[in-house]
Amino acid sequence: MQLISFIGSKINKNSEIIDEDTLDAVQKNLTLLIKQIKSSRPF
Amino acid sequence: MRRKYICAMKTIFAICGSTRNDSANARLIQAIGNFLPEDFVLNIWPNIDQIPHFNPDLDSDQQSAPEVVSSFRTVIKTADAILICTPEYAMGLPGSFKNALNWTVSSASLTKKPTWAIVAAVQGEKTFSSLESILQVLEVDP
Repeated sequence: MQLISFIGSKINKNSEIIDEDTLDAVQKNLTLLIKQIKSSRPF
Repeated sequence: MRRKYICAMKTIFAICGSTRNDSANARLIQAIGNFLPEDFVLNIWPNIDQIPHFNPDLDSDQQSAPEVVSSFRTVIKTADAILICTPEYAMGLPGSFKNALNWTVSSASLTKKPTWAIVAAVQGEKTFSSLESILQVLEVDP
């Protein structure tokens, strides 16, 4: 779960994250999700 | 002996809580998609506002769920993970998005599904808390 504030100013029209803290947080959470997917068993 | 390597693509299914054409949440989903490794694919549900109003009578032993709802449930069930990006409307989840989640309760579509939920809003704390509770009820893998 993640809460990002003032989103409009942090993403430009080309879908690029232009705020460094947001970018770091997104990349960290994405890395965790990828690990979670790769370690999860199909059910 | 030659070994066979199977490269199984992993699918992340993204749901944008906003119904706006050019929503910041949709752009955030696109941005996240750009960071995915090559063996991952991001599918985005295109029209959350096309999911009919939740009504248990439309999803009973006598009547199967509307086709768009069945499709929505299927893409969730077949995905390896779920990405949710939602704004906050009037201190809460957007109605269309909450409505879509309501359809997933009886089907248990999200149960044990790895889920990354983002509330991207000017404030968002109340929506964040509400979404956290809903996802607990849906028994996602947080």
